[in-house]
Amino acid sequence: MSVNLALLDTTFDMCIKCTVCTTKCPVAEIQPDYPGPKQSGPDGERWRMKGEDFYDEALKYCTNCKRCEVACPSGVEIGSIIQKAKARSGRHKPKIRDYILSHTDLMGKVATPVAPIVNMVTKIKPVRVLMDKILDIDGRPSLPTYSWQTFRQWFKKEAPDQSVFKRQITFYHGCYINSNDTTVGKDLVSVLNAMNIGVQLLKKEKCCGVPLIANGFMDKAQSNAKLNTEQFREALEGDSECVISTSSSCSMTIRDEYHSLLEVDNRELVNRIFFFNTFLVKEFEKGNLPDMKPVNIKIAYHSPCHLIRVGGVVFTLEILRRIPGVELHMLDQRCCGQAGTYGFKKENYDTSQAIGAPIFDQIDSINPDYVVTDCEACKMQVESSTNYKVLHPLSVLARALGVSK
Amino acid sequence: MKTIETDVVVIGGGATGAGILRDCALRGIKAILVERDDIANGTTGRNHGLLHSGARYAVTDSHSAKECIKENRILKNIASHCVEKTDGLFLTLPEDDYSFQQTFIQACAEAGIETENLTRNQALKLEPNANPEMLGAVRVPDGTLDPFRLTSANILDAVEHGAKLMNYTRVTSLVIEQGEVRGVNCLDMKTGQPVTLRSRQVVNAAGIWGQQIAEYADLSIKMFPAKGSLLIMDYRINSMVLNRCRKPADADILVPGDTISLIGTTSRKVPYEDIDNIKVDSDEIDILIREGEKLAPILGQSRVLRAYCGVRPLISVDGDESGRNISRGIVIRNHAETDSLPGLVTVAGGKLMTYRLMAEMTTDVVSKNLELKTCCTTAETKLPGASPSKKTAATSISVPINASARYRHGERADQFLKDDALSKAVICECEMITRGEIEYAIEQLNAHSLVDLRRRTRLGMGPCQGEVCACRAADVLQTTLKKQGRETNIAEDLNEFLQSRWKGVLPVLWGDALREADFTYWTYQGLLGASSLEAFSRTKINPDTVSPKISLETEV
Amino acid sequence: MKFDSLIIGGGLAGLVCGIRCAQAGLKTGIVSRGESGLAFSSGTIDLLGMDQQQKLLSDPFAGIEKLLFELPEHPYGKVGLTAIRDALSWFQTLSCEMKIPYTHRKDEKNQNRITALGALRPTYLSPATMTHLPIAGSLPDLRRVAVVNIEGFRDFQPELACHNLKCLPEFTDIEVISISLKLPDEFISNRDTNAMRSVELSRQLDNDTTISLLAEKLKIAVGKADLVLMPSVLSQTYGAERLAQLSKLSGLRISELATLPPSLPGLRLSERLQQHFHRLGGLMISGDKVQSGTIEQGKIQSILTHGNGQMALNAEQVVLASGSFMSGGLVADRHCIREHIFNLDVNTQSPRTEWANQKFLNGKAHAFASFGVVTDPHMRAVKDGKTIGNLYCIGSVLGHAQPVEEGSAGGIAISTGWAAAENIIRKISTNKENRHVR
Repeated sequence: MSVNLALLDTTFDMCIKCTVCTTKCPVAEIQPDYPGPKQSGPDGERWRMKGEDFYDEALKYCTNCKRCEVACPSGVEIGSIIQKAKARSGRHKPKIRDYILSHTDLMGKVATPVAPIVNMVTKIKPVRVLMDKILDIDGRPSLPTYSWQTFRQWFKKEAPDQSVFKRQITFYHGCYINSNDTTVGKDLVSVLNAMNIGVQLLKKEKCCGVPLIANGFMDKAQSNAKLNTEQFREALEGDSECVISTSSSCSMTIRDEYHSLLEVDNRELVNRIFFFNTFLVKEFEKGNLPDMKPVNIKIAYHSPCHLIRVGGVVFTLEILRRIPGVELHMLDQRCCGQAGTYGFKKENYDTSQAIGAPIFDQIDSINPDYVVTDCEACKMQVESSTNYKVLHPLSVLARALGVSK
Repeated sequence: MKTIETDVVVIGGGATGAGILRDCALRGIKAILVERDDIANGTTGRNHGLLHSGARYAVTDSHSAKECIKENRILKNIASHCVEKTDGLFLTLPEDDYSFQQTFIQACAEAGIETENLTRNQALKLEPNANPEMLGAVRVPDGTLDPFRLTSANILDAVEHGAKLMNYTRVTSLVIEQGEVRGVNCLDMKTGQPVTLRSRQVVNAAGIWGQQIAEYADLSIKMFPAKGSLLIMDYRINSMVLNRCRKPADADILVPGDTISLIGTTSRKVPYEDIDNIKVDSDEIDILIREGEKLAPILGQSRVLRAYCGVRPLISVDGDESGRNISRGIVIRNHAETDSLPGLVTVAGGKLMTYRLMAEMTTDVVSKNLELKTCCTTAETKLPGASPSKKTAATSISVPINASARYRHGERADQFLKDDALSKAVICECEMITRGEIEYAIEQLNAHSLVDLRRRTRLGMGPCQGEVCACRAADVLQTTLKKQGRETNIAEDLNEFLQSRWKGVLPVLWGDALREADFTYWTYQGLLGASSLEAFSRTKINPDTVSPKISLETEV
Repeated sequence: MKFDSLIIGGGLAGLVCGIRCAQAGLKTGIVSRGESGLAFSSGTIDLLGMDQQQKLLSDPFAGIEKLLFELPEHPYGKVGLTAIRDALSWFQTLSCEMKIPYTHRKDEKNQNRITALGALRPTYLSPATMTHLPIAGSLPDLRRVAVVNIEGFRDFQPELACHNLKCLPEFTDIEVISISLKLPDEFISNRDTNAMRSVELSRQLDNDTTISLLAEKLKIAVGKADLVLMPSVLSQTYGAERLAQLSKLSGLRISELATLPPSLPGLRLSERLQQHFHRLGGLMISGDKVQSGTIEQGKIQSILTHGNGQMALNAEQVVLASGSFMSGGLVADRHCIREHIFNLDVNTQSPRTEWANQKFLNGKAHAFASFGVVTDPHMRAVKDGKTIGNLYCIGSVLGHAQPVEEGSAGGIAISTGWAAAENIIRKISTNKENRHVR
């Protein structure tokens, strides 16, 4: 087998076989058929160079949570190695179910015009039983509901007001905010406006690609990456200071994985693509810090895997700590088990719940007013598996600024 | 004193000796092989592991080229589990003479070696990691050949046909009676006990060390030792054999061997007295990396796992100074005819590629001396492991375990790929070696120690160089030997294994190899306190005056 | 983002320094690229086990005093004996607060840790889960010792440990036996023990039912024994509690041995230290690594990380705790050794042929283990011969020590980490007062 190493992640060469990644893998902890990150990643890559015969279908269990990469003292991009191997050699062809779950932007387009019906229908027991039987989408977790009006539709009315601000940024909203829950998007606009910054949208945008990568639609992910990167470039050549995303997984993908995993060169733009937290901390430190009122709530903060991976948790904490009246409890840094679309799949549901169980227990014992997290998939999992409502940090900030929608 | 009777004694456990043992056994001749260390521990195990097509010799030595392509086709059939049909590319780089390509293609055609002339883009499509600055390339049927597996399979087949292997048995003198060689006197290196083997024929197949054997009979066979050094890369950076399309020179072959790639070799004349003390020099390493990068640029950014060197067993036939242009031809001396010393046959020269042919020619002479009418069948009879498997693997055995075991042992993997938890426990994680495979190597393939296990299974040959598997394997070895009623000082063996790994790492101690060594040092000394053990602190081996046995451990 | 103190490296030294700073109310961050050497360590704290002549030390403090005289550039030399004692006692108090108490012998002497290979290694502070032997003298209370493994667990070799223990002169009159205990599949969730590492096995054993069963089996298999040695596989979080439970139920004195990596006793300490740092309000930046720093006017002005080119990290005081080669604090190419973040001065220019010994393990230290950065007497980094005023270097990135052979890694990490923190706290409070006065 000829593998072009120039296009391959050869960080496995740096692995010193210290085994520490195996202690952090949430999947291996629960699923005995998963060989764990060491064998699936750096060990396996050496044999896979010998030929396709060495490819192990058990790699499909990897959720790409990247906790192995955070644990690795050698800089091996274990998760990316596994994703690339899956894309190269996986014989496990994506199912129609995987198509539905991963093509989040397309599904949003189909569903939002008839959102109330879709939302109602996907809550009906017999429908879920059917989805479970036919599509292998597990009947137990609540599926994302769709918004009757997309964020883009809502924003059309806001757009004229935004042009009054001298400073402008471009917001990459992603699929969830556009089709499922527009709140965080609206809160971002309010918060930035309160800081005298106007918001624009990209002319068009596609799903960042994170669910496509996890479900094996690498070509589609790559074409999305190309389109989005072109859009970013165009926006940044205009009057926008930067592009901002509010989802930790979208943010990691559009900033880091476009280049390292999907081979779309965005290196000259990366420093102008921000996750909301870095942008806000920067502004706060420059003194652009509007007055806040105490919110008086007890929150349990869950750090999303992909935010941990990029070292971004501290900036969200910095924001939360500046909000008066926040009683902040840190949840242990464990995976909630959802991992994007992983937890929706019938074959993964039990694994997904078992992975998240310690987090759910910890939330129960803290009994907060709200759970706070930066990731929409974590939000869905926690809301589906506990009785607590989940807020995005921006929504907490919006409350403190008195601009909450 | 213990005495054993047989027809033929073969001295030397390299590929040639093993091939002769097998050839004798298949012809029904009783034979015993004596080896002072372990099989494939000399020159056999210290080369590229290249299945030559003959193309490399086509221009300079057409006789060798023809031998190579013939044996190439035979080995692909009889030793399919030791061979990978990767094909090879001969690259012409900007610094090379492009017109040589035509001479080369012409010479290949004359030797019967098929070639395909490729453009730069065609070649890069086949081997994306080759130097993109090449002007063009020629594709030839080169491949890879695992010398350890090959030797082991020959021995296994011989043993299954009634022959006997005595490794760790050193020949101390020849038994000469009435002007005739009638056997060998040996020393069992494990027990220190002397043993005599009486035979009708003795074959000296000790390679470069054959000069010493000949001296026991006051015969003079002059060897011309030339050292060749190689580097092992951490992983397979190329999937086809890469050569330079020019006259053979230093560091111009890059071979993908199993999970790794090998770059080599240098060629340096060494005095005969030093053959057991050769070391890789640091300037050789720099040359290997510099030249290797020209074949595949990624080599310069990849981890070097080990360095090792071997001695070419060339017989001096003219005054060549470099050792490179000496004939690699096969030399067989029937001392009954050349020196009026019946009972002794010496075989020398040749190369790994032609081991079978050398064995055939030698056994023909032996057979004639024994006044037997036998004929050679080794060119058609498949080696153990080379036949298709009849069984399908149990579904509970993971894909990489199954594929790795079959890659190494062919259909013989059926004997140890079992569906029980204990036997499928992974001992060496880098190379996917199970407990079952290790037990098989101890019970069926004559492995006595961890280092022996390495040659038969690739134990400890991956990136961690034994860090993860050494103790695990020591436990399996100790338990299995105990079951057979054999004793071993397992702590001493563990020390020797770690030291043998260290020897190859030491010359390339920088970058990730140094990180790995730091980690292993921390684990074995900091965590486990190994050096305070008597077996480790006892200075059995003085590094300054290396004894022959230990210096031989600078291997793959 | 602004910090009072920013530490590069989350191993023992970095965490000790971070916790001490956070205790003093400083806004403290730790940038940590991956897990540290703690994950592969014994979990005990070595102080100084061997002198410069490779002789076993019974009294580590006397040994340090001699060392400071013989080798003043040793990291201990920058801390001083009094501060080393203060640091250790601070660490012991901390360990109690973290509910993983570390203790030393009453006579403040070294003790011999039994290793998983069946060797002895001098150490100083120990968690409650291990029984150690005195450095000198006989072992009157030991007549029969059992080495016990859970059947199938690959990373501990009871026969090998047994073989080696029997060879020790200390064990001449002691009976040593090895035992393998099989646990019924249903007690380990039908998992295959042959495929598990220490952490994975510990997850299966970490419950009352399995511990009771283990105790029953242990009682029957071992019979009478003065000491039972087991691999450390009981629990990642509640090691001491589970071990005490097992001892009580079986009526046996049990000591755990840190296994081949990953090592639970080390991971436990690492986990507790990280949790404690979080609780004190410390900010952990994991998943990213420091790429470079800008140095102006003899000071680190800002730090850039690999994954975040958008926001520099600023700190009044910076600490380099990036470890040695294994952790990537030092890097070696074919020609030289470098400290790669700031390109600090290092203590060697030797060619690579002089970096290590011909023998891998024979009690002689490899040269590479003593390589490290050069500092001024206050552990501040030196670049091109000039001191960087706000950059402290701690732990194994420091040169001139032989942590593995002399048995000093833990002691150096704790004492240099603590001492640097004390310096930082003093400096920052003085600076604040000065600003206040102005």
